[in-house]
Amino acid sequence: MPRILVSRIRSHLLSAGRHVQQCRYALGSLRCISTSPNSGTEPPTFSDPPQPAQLNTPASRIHSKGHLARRMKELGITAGDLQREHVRREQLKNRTSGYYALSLLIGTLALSYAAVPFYRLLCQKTGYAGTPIVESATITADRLIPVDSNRKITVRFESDVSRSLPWKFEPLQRQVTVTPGETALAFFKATNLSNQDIIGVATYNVTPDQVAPYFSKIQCFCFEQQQLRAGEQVDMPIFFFIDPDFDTDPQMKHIHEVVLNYTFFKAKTNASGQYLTVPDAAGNEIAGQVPITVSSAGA
Amino acid sequence: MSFGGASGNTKVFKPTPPDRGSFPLDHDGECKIQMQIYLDCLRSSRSRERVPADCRLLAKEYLNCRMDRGLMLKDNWVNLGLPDDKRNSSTDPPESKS
Repeated sequence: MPRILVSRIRSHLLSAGRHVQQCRYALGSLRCISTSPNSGTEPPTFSDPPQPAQLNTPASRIHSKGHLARRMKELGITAGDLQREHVRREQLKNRTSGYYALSLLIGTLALSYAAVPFYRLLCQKTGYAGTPIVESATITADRLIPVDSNRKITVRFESDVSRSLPWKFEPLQRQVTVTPGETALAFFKATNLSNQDIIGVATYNVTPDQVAPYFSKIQCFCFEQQQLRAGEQVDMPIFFFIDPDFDTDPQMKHIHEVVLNYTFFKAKTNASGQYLTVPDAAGNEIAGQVPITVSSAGA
Repeated sequence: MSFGGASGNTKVFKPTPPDRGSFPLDHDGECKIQMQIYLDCLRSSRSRERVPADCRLLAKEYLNCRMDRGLMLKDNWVNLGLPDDKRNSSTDPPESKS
């Protein structure tokens, strides 16, 4: 008699429809408790579900192994049937676990694809690994409302060029008058006077120093390598504003003039003419003679 | 930067990167005309005071030109502090925009 697992016997006999048996393999023998008073010889009817009354019958009969074989014969279940049942269930289990494994594989693949933008997003939000936080939401629309007061600030533009850079660099307007909170557009012009392509990089300075935290640039041309071809002339805009909180700061009460100074440096090259890059405090590499400490923009 | 500056003010100047990064250079001068118009407006406004506020629609034209040519990321005008297309400036006549 083949070794048969207990649960399969039970479920098969359940599907037989009439009789419910609870079997337990203990002490080397199979013992079954019948919960049905009928041990009828009728063939199993597969259409009938087990009646509730039969399931609750307290009558019990302990069967041994030999009895089990006889029961099976009475019900018309052969060992082959059970074997086939066994194989079918094995196949089902294999298929199920196969599906699980496949879905796990697909899930892992999908996760690995999603990881790239997710990581980028995480770096941008938290500035992890030195990623500069350049969300455009840093300067929100509500900061760009001009204040109501009569406060006017004159912004003067100055320009400087490093001695090693054969460029002509000048502002196209000497000064502008702005109200805090109002965005302003201003232009500089740079001309490459030499006969070679040169890469320059600009930095800026705001005087007096106290104004610097209030001086916000939305977009400009600084801190990035700008290449000018030989003899090329290009207009460089800056789009900036003075934070509206400037108006309410008591320390800024006496300030009416701000000087904005842009200086162009030549991007540093090594002996073989390759452009060197200097990492700044945030870990980004920028070219320039001056190591510039930059912090994330914050108005 | 400032030796022994005001004891209350400990802010040291640090150049900060621009909020939206750097403008790509307009090598081909695609928006030069808009820039010229804007600068003329600036020079003409109230002799010594150059008030960009008076010329903000022209500034908008320049930035619009940049956005169209791919020299600037497109954004809502309100995020740039410039008047929206739908609203008309009180001083300038309404102009039809794209």
